[in-house]
Amino acid sequence: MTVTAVAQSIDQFRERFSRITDEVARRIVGHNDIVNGTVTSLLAGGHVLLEGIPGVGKTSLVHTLADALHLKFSRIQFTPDLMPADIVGTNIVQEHSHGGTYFEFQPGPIFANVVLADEINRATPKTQSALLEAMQDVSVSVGKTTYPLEQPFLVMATQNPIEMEGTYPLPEAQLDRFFFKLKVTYPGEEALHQILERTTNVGNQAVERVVDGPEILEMRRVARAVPIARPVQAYAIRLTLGSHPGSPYATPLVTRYVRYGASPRAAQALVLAGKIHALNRGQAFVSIDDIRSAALPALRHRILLNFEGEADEVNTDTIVNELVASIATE
Amino acid sequence: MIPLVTLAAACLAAAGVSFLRRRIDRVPDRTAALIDHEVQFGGELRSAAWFAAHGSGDPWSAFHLDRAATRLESVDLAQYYPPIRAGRAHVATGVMIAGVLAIAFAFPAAPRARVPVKDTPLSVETRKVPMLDVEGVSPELPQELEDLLSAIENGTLAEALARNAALLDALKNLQSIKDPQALAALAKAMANAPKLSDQESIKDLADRAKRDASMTPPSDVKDALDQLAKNLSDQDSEMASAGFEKSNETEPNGGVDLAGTPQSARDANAIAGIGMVAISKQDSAQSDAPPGMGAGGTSSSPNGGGTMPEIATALRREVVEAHEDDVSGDVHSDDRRKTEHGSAATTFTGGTAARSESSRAVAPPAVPETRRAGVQTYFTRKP
Repeated sequence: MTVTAVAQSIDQFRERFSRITDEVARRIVGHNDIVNGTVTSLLAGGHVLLEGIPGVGKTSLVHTLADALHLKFSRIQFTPDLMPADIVGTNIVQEHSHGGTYFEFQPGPIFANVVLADEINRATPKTQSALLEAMQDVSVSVGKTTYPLEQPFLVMATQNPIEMEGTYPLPEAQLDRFFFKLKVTYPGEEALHQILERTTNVGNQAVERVVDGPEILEMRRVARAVPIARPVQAYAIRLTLGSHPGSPYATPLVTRYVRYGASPRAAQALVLAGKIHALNRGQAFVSIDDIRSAALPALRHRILLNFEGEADEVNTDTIVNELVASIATE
Repeated sequence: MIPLVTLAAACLAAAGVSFLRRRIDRVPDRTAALIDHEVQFGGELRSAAWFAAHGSGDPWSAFHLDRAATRLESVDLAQYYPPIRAGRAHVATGVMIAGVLAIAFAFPAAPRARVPVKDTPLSVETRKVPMLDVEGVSPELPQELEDLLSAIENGTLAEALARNAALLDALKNLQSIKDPQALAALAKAMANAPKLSDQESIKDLADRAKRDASMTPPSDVKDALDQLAKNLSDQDSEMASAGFEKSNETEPNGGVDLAGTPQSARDANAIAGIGMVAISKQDSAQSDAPPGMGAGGTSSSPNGGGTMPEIATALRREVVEAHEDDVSGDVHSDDRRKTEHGSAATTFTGGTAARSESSRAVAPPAVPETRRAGVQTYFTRKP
C-alpha cells in the first residue's frame, strides 16, 4: 500500500460514512450524534445499546439503518416469556423421505447481520444471556455444535429507562459487550416540525441501500489501520483506569461513588472509536480530542456505581465528564 | 596561562557536544504537545513527533508524517515564536567575559580563595570533681560519672565512649552501688555547691541522672543511669521518711501512734495520707476551722483537726475530686472501620463510674479479638 492509496482509502471511508449517515438522516431527524455513534459501532465491529423514553425514534433509527445497509435484518421483540431458544434457534425433529427421523437445526432470528433487540430489558437475564456468545464471538452454540454468524454482525438493543416495572436490568457482562451506549434524547422544536412534516404527509421517505456487507468489512479494515501514537493511547488507558476507585488517576467522584470501573473493552472502544472519528475528519492519526469524543458513549455504561452513588442518583455521565476534564493529556 | 587554555577548550567541547545533541535529540512528547497546542495543530504535530521518533515505516505512518510535514512547512513559526532580541544582554555578557580575562591576565598570582573550615572540638571541657574516699568504690568514679553526664549533655556521648573505655566500667560500678553511704558520698562529691545538705545533693544527682537518661537512646548507658537515679531516689525517700519520723517523735501532742504503721517510705501517698490524718488529730478543739487541706483543719495551724467521721468524709471527698480530675482514667478508644466509601471514624468516650448516668448511653462492650475482623467488615457490601 502506498501513501497515495492511504489517501484514497481515507477519502473512500469518509464518502461511504457520509453516504450512510445522509441516507439515515433522510428519515431520522435531529439525532446526528446518535446516527454517527451507531455507524461508528457498526464499523468498529461493536454493538449498540440505545436508551431513551418511548417515541423518540429508537426503533425507527435501527430500522432505517438496516434499510440503508444492504444487509440481512431481523427483529426480536423481547418479552418476559421469551426463551433463549427463541433467539438462537433449536433442533427440531425431521422425517426422512425414506423413513426414520433426524434432528435438524432451525436457526433463530439471531442469524442475521443486523439484529434489533427491542426492549431488551423486558426479557429475563437467562434470555438476555443468550446474546452473550453471539455478541462477543459472533457465533452461537446449540448443543455440541457451534454455528458461526455472518459478518458484519451488529446487535442494536433498545431499552426504556423509565418503565422499570417488570423489567430486568442488563447484567454487567452484557452491558460491557455493548461498544457504545447512546442516549436518545427528546427532539427539539425545530426537529419536531420536521418529524411532523415527514410523517403526517402523504407518502413515505424511502431509504435506499447505499452500502453493502463487503464495503462495511472494508471500512472496518481501514479503520483499524489508522496508527495511534503511544502518548494518545496512554491517554485512553489513563481515562479507563481513572474510572476505577483505587486508581491513582481516579477523580473525587470516582472515589466516592464508583464500585467498579470500566473494563479493558472500554479502552478498546475508546481507541477504535477514536480512529473512526479521525478518519471522519480526514486524518490518518488519532488525537486526544478523538479519544475524548468517544469517552461518554464508551464509558457511561461500564461504570458501576456503589450504594452511595445509587442512593444519591449520581449520573455516570457526570463522572465521565469529570474524568475527561481532569485526566492529564501528557 | 595553561588553565585558561584548558577552560577555553572545555567550553568549546561543551558547545560542540550541546550542538550535536540538539541535532540528534528527539523532541520530548511534552514539548511536542506544547508546540502542537500553541500552533493549533489539533494533535497532528504531537502524533507526528512520536511517529518520527518511533517510526514503524508502514504507509499509514508515512502518510501521517508527510501531511504533518507539509502542514508544518506552511506555518510561519516566527509568528508564534519570535526571535529574542537581546542586544544589550549580549553586549553585557561580552564585557563581563572581557573583564574576567583582563583580571586573569593582570593578576596571575592572585591568592586562591579558601573555604574556612570550622574546627569542631572533639573534646569538651568537663568540671573537675573531688575524688571519692569510700571503701569498695573507685576514687575516680565521681570524675568518670561527671565526664559521662557532661558528654550526654553536650551530645558527644558516642565520642566520649569511644575515647575513654573506662566510662563503660564506671557504668557497671554505678549499677552495683547500693550502699547509702556510698551514694551520699558520690552525690556530695558531684554536687556543684558544697554547702548543700546530703539529701539535697542526692536529690540533685538523682534529677540529673534521670534527665540525662531521658536524653540517651535505649542502651546500657541509659539503663545504668536509670538504675542510678532509682537508687538515689530511694535513698532520698528513706532520708525524708527518717526525718519525718524523727520530727514526730519530738512532737509532744502526737495524736496518732505511728509505731504500728508499716514504714514503707517508698509509698509516698500512704505516708502523705497517714501524715494528713496525724495532723488532723492533733487538736480536735479547732475542728470547726475552715477546711484547708480537706482534712478537717487549716494546714498552717498545727492545732487544726476534726473528728473521725469528718475526716472520713473529707477523705472521701478528696478521693472523689481527685478521681474526677484524673482524665487519664477515662476509657477512650478510636475505632475505625473501612467501608467502600472511605473510612468512617467512631469514637467512644466513657466517663468514670462515678459520673456515669443510667439515662445516658454507655460505651458498648469491647469486641473480642477473635470476632473483631468479622464485626469490622459486617457492614461492608460484598461484591
